[in-house]
Amino acid sequence: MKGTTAFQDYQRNTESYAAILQTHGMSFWEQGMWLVCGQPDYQDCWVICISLTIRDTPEILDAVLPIVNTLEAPFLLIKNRLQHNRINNHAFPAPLFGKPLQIFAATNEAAFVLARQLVRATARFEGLHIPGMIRLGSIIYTAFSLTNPDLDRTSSISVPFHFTVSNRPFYFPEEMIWREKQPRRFLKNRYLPVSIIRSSHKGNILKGLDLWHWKWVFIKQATAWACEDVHGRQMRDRLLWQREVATTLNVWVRTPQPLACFDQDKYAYLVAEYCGGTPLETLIHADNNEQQQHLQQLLGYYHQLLLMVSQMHTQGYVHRDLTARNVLIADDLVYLTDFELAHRLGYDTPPYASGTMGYMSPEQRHNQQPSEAEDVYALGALLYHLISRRHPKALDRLDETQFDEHLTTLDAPEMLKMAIACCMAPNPESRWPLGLLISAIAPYLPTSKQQRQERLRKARGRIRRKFSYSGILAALAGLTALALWLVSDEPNERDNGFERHYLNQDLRPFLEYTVPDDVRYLAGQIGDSLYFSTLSPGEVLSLSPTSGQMARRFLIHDSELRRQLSTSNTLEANRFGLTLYDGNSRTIIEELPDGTTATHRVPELFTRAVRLSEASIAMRKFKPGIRDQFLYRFDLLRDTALNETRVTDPADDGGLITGGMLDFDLESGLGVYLTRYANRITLVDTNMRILSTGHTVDTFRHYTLKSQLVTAGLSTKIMNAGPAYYVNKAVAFDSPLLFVNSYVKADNETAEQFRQSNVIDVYCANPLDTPRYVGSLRLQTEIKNRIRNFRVYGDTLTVLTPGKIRLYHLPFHTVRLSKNER
Amino acid sequence: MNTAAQHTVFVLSRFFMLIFLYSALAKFLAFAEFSSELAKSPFLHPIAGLMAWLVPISELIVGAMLIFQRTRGFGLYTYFYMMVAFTCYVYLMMKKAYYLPCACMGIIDDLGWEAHLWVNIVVSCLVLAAILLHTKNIPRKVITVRPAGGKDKDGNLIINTKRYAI
Repeated sequence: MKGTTAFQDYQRNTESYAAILQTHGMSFWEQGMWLVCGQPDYQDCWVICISLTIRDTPEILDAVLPIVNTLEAPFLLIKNRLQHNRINNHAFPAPLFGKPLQIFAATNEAAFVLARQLVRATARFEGLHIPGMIRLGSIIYTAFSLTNPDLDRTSSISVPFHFTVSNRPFYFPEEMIWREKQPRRFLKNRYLPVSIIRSSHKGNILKGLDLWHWKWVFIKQATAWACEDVHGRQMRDRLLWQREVATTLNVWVRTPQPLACFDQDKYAYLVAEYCGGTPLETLIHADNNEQQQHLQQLLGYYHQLLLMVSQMHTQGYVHRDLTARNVLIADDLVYLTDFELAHRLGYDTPPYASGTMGYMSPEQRHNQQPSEAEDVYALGALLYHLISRRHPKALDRLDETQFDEHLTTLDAPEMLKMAIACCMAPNPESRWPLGLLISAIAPYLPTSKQQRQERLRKARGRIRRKFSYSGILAALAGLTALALWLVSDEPNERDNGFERHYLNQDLRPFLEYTVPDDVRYLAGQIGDSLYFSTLSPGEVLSLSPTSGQMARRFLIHDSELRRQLSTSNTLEANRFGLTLYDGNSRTIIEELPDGTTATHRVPELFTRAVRLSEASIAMRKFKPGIRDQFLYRFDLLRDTALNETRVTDPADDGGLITGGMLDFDLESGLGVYLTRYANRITLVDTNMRILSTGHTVDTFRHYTLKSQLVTAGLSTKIMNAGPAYYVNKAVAFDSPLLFVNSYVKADNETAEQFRQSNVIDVYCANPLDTPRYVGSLRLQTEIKNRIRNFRVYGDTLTVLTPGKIRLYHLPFHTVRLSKNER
Repeated sequence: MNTAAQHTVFVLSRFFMLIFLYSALAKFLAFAEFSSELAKSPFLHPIAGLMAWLVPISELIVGAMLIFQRTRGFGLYTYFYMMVAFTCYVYLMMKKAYYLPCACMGIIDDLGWEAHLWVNIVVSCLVLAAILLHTKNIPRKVITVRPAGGKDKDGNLIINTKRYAI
């Protein structure tokens, strides 16, 4: 039955196209593989070639021949389907590819008329793309014909002419030239080709990006009409078949999974997942000093390939194009690709023709029915390629004796040479079965110890590589942070235009206690005890410096009232007792001598408050109309606010900057308002009248901070709009001495010295004069122990830092100065 | 690479992802406060507006990259870069800055700067460990080779039905 089918195929393929010419009443004669009509003159004339596809040849000829006949143009037509198949599949010299019908025009005018009519008549057909000619229509091409000076008349396929499109004045008008549609950049709006991996006359293999899944893909781009076989199947059919085989075998064989197959812009595309990797051919020819080790490694890959091919055969498929180029190695795993020529055994579908020279068995070259032996032959050729590092196409020219002699010269184990010889036997029946080949190479595979050593070596290399990458990234990250620091405008990393002189070396505390972490700040001293505000609103912590005893208690016993207090409440302890201020709830709570509390309600919000006397409080408020901060005196007896003094600079912020500290010396009745983000000092009396103004020793006369209104949800907050470059951080006023914890470095100290200490500048603040700088005190601390706040009582400086309260004796001359000024 | 290592990488990646996703969400939920705090940092002040968006968005992207096997390797390297940069930033702030704002948001807000530095160092080391352990997870196929079909010297059929992982 098979024999009958083959005979029918042969008969059909050798059927001459002469019958078609006869139908059109044309006279012709046969010359070699051509049917010649008229007297073609190959020298110096335009030739029009029609790209005939085997499938549409009768139809195209029916459309074309009447025109040619009318214009009496001589032409050459390929003899039959068999030769047609060969001319369309690169079986003849390259100049003949795709030119089964060549029509010669005697004159330029005849060429023009002929071309115009042919273009119109063949517009609906498609055909192979003919390289090196000018395209005029869908299947119409033209070039200038010249006689071939190297014509070999003894050869049946030698071409008597050659075509050129150069050095000739172009005759055809511009509008006749075929406008090739520019292929779109994106394929199916999803795949973006980015680079070409391999290119051939059939098309390209591209690396692309799948934009939907954001991963790399292989894209096989085939010129739809790059080739055609006798069954009329083109590249598109090959890709579809390849997809079908790869999808079926994907369960058993490691191959890039096909993702899509489609046509776009006259190209057929097959998209498959990307596995990266290197072709086995590249690895074979790679330079390697360890030849033996290299061969073992290659044989390991070869073994993997054998297993996959074996599995493929089990599933009833043969690959038929097993070459070193179609095997990819990625992460030590073998990927088998290119199933274009694969065939399913036992099915009537005709196999696709040809293969790769050197790897093709004799029966495959003669288009015989495929069998597993074809793959065995290719595997033998591949084994030869691995061992000799030479392409097996050289073996095609050797006869059997020469082949055997050549094998003996190979520097390889005898068993492997025998395997090559037995796999590449011309007779398929004599070839080894695949299982035997697997067994034969087994002794030459790397041993488990070698494999382990190899794995270890690779793991070490991988870890070393990862360490290098991580090191580079860490260095880059460090540089990024360093660059940010270098471009930052940190005042304490540069000179600020002033100098300090220190009244002491480092002050050492005479008493030091650890305080709980929830202590916020030092509220003051009553009698012998120090009082602290804690994170819990309304709670007070007391410490006796002499005994070191601590006690906690609530100033407010009413839990509902405590709940109403905001976290920004402040506590003050002085000879009038404990007073708690909460500007947000507009509440002042005063502890009376009998232990009870009195609550005062303030009509407006306030931002800072401090006790002036038994019956009055100084408080700072934001005045919306004027948009600035003012000091008021609040009368506790009448709960009314009296006087007002504008204390902040406008600073272009509408009075938003509230950064200022207020402290009063109850004995002298003098108060000081010191800004945090500028160096302004304002001295006021108990009536909130400004007595004098001045500046701290530094040069920051303008605000180092801007503030902004930030809306978060329904509430609006005043927040800083830049780094908080504090100029002054804390203040204590023991008239006439004003103690200021400064946050800016002087020019006569290094940044490191300044960072390692807390600096308190001392000023003499006389109401009749501007405050005068006396000198500075340096408190040796660690950087994390920045001062939260401090108080001065007599000759004792009490300083709170996170978790610590320290008491220092002020230097003798500071105390003396204080007494003298008084 | 054995399964235990891959499981470790998986668990670590999920942990890193949670840190970044939590951190990014906390920043977005209190965005005004976060951007304002960031502006107080002397190092970031000039680019605070940009960083306020860049940091949480990067955290979300890198966190998402850690979910997928395909992007996990790149995600881990990016994570490592960000963590080291952040650690260096914290260190420099502690050493050089005179005011330490807190812009971390969420529970991290409660950590001190020194604790934050140690947390960052530990997390960076864990990320480095995950990078070293991480490998591309390629499924291996197990195939059975059918009988060889050849015969040995005594005429017995050579049977080779070994199972191979390829």
